[in-house]
Amino acid sequence: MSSSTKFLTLKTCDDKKFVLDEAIAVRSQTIKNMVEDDCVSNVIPLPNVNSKTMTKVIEYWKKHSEEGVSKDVLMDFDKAFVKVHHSILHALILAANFLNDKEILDMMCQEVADRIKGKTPEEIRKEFDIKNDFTPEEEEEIRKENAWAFE
Amino acid sequence: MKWGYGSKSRCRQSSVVAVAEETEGIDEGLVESCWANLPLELLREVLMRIEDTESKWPLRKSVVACSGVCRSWRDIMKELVKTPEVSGKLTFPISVKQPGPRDTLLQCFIKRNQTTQTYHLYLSLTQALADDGKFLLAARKYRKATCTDYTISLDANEMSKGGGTCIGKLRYGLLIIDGVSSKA
Repeated sequence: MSSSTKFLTLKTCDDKKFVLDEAIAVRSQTIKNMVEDDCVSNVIPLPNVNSKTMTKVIEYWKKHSEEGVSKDVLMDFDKAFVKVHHSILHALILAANFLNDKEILDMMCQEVADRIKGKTPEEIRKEFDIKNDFTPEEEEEIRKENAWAFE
Repeated sequence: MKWGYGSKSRCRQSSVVAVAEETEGIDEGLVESCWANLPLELLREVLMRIEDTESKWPLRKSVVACSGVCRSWRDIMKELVKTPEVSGKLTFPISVKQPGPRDTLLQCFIKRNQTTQTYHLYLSLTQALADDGKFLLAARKYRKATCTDYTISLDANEMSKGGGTCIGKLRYGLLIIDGVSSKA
C-alpha cells in the first residue's frame, strides 16, 4: 500500500462518482474483468446501480477488506448489514448480480429466503407486494395443498 | 431534475455520506413493488435456498407456501422439487401418490380412533414415541353387509366421497386411487 495503490472511479446511474482503491473494487468480478481486459479508462460506468446502493456495497467491501478484523466482528457486521428495508435488499441483489459479487449476492438471497420462511402464501404476497395471478381453479388446488401442508 | 443545487455542492465534499442522504426519499416509492419484477434467475437463487434448507417437516411447509404465491414462483418451485423417489422427501400432497425412495425407508405411523372408525397416517419426524408427525392421509372404515370399504382422503376432516380431497378407496384388498386400481 504505497505509491502503487491505484484508484478507480465508479460512476453510478444517478451520476455520482465514487473513488475507490482498485484492490477493493475488484471484489466485483465485473469490474475485475474490465480491469484485466484493460478496458478501464478514467471512469467506470455502473448503469444498473444507484448511488445509495453503491454506498452500501462499498461499505461492505471496505469492511471485508480491512486487515486484522476478527471473524466475530465480520459476522456481526454482516448480520447488521442485511437488516435493511425490502427495497434496499432488492436493489442490493440486483447490484450484486450486476457487479458479479457472489458473496453479497449469496448473503442477500439467504436473507430474502429467511424472510419468506414460515409464512403462508398470503403473508408472502403481502410482505413482498406480489400479485396473485392464479385462476380460481388453480387457486383451489393451491388452497388444498396448503391446507395439507399447514395441517 | 433529480438534484437540487444543494446536493451538487455537497457531494463534492464527501461523496459517500451526502449521497445516502439525498437519495433517501427518491427511490423508496419507485421500487416498492419491485419483488414481482425480480429476474427469474435471481428468484430461483432465493427459492433454491428454501427448497434446500427446509428439507424436513414441519419446516417444509415453506416450500409449499412459496409455490402458492404466484405463477412464476410456482413454476420455479415445481421445477426445484424432485419426486420422493429421487429426493427422498415428501413435499406436495401428490407425493403420497408417487413412488417412494428406493434406498431409504420413510417411517410412518398410524393413529387409530376407534369411536369414529378413522385412521390417520403420519410421517415420523423423530425417533421419539411422542412424535407429532406430519399428517399424510386419513382413512375411514365403512362396514357394509358384504364387505368393508375404506375411503382415503388428504383432509383429516373431510372424508366424504364427493369431497375434493378424497383420493381413493380400499375394497377387497384393492386400492383404487383416482379411478385406477392396484393391489394393496
